[in-house]
Amino acid sequence: MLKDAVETKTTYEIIKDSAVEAGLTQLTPERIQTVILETLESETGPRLKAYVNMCVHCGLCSEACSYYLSNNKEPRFAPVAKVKNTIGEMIRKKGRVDNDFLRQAVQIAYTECNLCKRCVMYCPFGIDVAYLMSIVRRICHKLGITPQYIQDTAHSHAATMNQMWVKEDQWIDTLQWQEGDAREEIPDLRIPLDKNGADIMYSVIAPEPKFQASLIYQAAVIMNTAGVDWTMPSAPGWDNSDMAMYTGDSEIMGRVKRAHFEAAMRLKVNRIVMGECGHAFRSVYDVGNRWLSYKMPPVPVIHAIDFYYELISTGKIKIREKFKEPVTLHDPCNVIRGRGLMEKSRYVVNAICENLVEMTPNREHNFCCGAGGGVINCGPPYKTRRMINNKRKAEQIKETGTKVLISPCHNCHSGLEDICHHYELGMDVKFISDILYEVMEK
Amino acid sequence: MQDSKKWDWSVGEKTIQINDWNKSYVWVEEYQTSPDGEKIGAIVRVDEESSGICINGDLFENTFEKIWNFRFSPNGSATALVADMDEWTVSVDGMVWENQFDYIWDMRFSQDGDVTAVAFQKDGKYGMAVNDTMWENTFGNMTGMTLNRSGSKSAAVVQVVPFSEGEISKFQKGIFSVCENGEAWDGAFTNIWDIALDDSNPVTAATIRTDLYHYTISVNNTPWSTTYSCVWEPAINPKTGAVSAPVKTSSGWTLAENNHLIWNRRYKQVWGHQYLPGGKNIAAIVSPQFGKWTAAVDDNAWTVLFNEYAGSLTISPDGSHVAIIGQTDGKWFYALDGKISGMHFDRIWEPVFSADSNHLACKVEKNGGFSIVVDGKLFSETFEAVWEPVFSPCGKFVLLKALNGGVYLRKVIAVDQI
Amino acid sequence: MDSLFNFVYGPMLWVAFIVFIVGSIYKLGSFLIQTRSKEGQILSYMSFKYGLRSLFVWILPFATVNMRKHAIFTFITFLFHISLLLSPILLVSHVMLVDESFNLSWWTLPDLVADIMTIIVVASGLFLLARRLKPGIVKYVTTMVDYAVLLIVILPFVTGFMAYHQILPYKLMIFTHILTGEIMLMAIPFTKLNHMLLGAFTRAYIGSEFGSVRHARDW
Repeated sequence: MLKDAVETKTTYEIIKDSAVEAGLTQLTPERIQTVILETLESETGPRLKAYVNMCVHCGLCSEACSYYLSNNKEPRFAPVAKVKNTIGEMIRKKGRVDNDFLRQAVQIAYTECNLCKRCVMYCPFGIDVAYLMSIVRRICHKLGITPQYIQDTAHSHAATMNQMWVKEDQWIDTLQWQEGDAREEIPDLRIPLDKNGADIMYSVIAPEPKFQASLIYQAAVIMNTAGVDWTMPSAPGWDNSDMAMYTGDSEIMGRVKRAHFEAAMRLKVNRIVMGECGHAFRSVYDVGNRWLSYKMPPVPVIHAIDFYYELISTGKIKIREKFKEPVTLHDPCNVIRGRGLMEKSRYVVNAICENLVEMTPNREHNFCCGAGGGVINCGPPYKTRRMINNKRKAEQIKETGTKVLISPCHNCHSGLEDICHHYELGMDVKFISDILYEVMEK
Repeated sequence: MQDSKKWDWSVGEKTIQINDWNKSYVWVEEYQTSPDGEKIGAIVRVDEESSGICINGDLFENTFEKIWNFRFSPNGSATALVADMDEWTVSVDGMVWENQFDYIWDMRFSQDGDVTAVAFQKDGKYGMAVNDTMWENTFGNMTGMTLNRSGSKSAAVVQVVPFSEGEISKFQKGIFSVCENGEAWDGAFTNIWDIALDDSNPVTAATIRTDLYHYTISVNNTPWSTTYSCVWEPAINPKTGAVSAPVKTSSGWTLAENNHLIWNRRYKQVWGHQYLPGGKNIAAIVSPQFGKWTAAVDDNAWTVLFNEYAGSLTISPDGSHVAIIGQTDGKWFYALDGKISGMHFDRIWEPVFSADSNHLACKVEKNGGFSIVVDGKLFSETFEAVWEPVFSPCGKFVLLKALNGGVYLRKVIAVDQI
Repeated sequence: MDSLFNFVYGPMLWVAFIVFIVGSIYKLGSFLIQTRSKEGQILSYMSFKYGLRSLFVWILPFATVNMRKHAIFTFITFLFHISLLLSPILLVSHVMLVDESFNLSWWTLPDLVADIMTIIVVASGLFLLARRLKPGIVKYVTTMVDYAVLLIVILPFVTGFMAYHQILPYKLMIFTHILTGEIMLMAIPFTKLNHMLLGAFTRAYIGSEFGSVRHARDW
């Protein structure tokens, strides 16, 4: 029994977000209707109509959703209900919806759906609820009612091409600082900047230089030990993350992705390897590229899991001594359902750890971390509710009985840390690289 | 700029041994070559405390705690960003600037190499320094630095309103402006990107976003009256000073000039457009259908389509030829005037035209070795590394700079011998 | 009554089939044409291999995780859909009518089997109705349209069964049977029943995305 099992019965309430409230004051019924109808007309097509019209309300998607399961199967949290209470109503009422409706739609689309696509695997018609929620977010973006924290992140992307207002000198300085520190360990270690023609451009998300510079240190040690021909760009385009994708600001998403791809093209690398981030992978591999008219990324994009698999399976990285303590492994939606890396992540974890205890369910069917899809980025106002919404995930993790939780995704990592703390699971959340760095031969 | 007429264009090979550099230094960083190919240099780690710049085997007298971004300028000066005690400055041929900064980056040269500009941060304030002269005004943040070809104008997007993270309404009202040669434009926009500076016209243009939804072009701080859902980088007509940019309309991307749509066709993407010399024609990278890429000249898209990528649009000096590089199924090609190269490569670099516009060469990688392709013919030798080729002023010879087995090679090859 | 009967069995039957066939072609055609013009990029992700893989898995009873999680529901809905599709097409009386008019005939089900299938459709229809009435997620999202669609589907079977077994006056029941059957046919392209037409496409699309782009299973 989890500590908060009782609290989860708290009544549902609409959380006040200053940016949403400020945005609502600027809206008129005419403006709301125009934006909704124009967006539906100019940015959607038969796919959306088919999804909404053919759904027979069978409810089979409900148990796919960890929000539904975490909230004692309260109907409003089922994917089909979220569709009905957002885009369904917008279509049914032909855009004539009021502020109360929009407040609720914002909360549902931005904070009660991680766009994890688990429910897509549970719908007989394959209705893509994540796509439908993305359309709701697009409409909310155009109405100017995006939650404050994630909107600020989108602003950062627009102004700096990175997620965290990292200034251009801070980025390069951080790389050189990590390079300097790592030389205490490996004296001739380098983080080669702007090396034209390198095999790999390594890209990260802005929280790494901002708060978690040790991850850059670890990556540099892994790259140097493996003898990889790599580089990092000194100019904007180094950040692969993308909260604009999640606010619904497609234009900024496109601009940020273009900068990322152009950084790789300018450096003439063979491929981009990205750190352990899921949403960034989705944005570069699956979503942002499409907005730019790239069917697939113009330069191959390799997620860290895939890259570690390559380094270990080819013997470029050798393991000195496996991590002894039992570990469990979280399957992030964006690289498992989004890229099929479930066997490779297990190969890597089994190569570096002695005892992997699986969560149940796992692989494509794993429960979402509850943080992804921009949900955690909506910030403190929504945190308490997020913890309630993550109860099922907490139970799933607790059932493994392990004390170490590996999560090869930044958003998952942060969300799982919140869960472990809130539900007092006493677990240590780690990236693969944390353990790999610890157990590899250097 | 180095006058390439004065270079040694006699057919043959010069070599420089670089094998022993690795023995002399703790490590040797990426090699750089001078435009005339007579010099090869690199940042080298001299000892645990200091780095230096080694050129043709000789180490510059000055060494520093940190050095990065070493390059030869177009006039052949060995230029790098250097620091001692966390005070950064620019080193040119071993001589350092007088100004010192808390950090410098984004080093740029004028076309002739006589002007060197960097972005700097000093006491938390940002600006540009051009030939050791700092902008008069500095700002809370700065992005998108640029320098025009002649080096007479430097500009960047600067933050002109105090701002803290999370202040979303202040951001949307506008906190950014364009700073040109140290003077910021009046007012502010929500976002500014891609400043275009001209050499012959008093025109500065940039892409702006006036709120979260409306994009347009601002010319000398006056926005076009029409806005679009998205706009990419502007270009300035070298003859007339007119400004054009790719714009997104409800039916797709196209090109607008001076506030009017000038292309009729709608594309899935248009970007990287350039005026041909004379200013009468425009070429751009376009995606005529989803996922397919090519070039278009004056709204006429080439029929050759690449499945994955097209870029590096290059126009010959006389404007008679247009070349791009492109990728299909992981293989790289170039296309010249709408015709795809017969050969494909593992990688290909920017096309290079001869001064008479009659020849085209590219650095390429094929089967793990590097070489050059000239007028569609692959040079028979491959190397561990090559630099981008340079044609002689007469166009009859090509300079190949390469590395093999610890030896730097400067080869002059007759174009008709390839 | 006779003239009404002659109407539903004559011109109305033609109308129903024309509406069904033309409506279905229109629905599918406009779906595909509009997809091409408005969301053309979708088509470039369609994969024959992974689209078929997904269809195949989802047409097999108990092949997906969710089908196994809801074993009773899966069992009933598979029987429901199979009976719903096959019994009208393979019913001897229906085939005889076609043979009479068009000199076309095919294999038929023994009457007892058809009878059982009809009972299955009606009984599982009642099960689906009960599911919609039971408090919980299904009830929460159910609208009047959902009840109406269920009624449209079940009525021809109820009336057909009653006519065959001569419960209530035969003439009235056969009249109602034909009429409700026609309503169902005409409803297919224009109501949620269009999942019969579009379901394969949405399934194949998501199967293609999951298979060829995301390298993951979609079941």
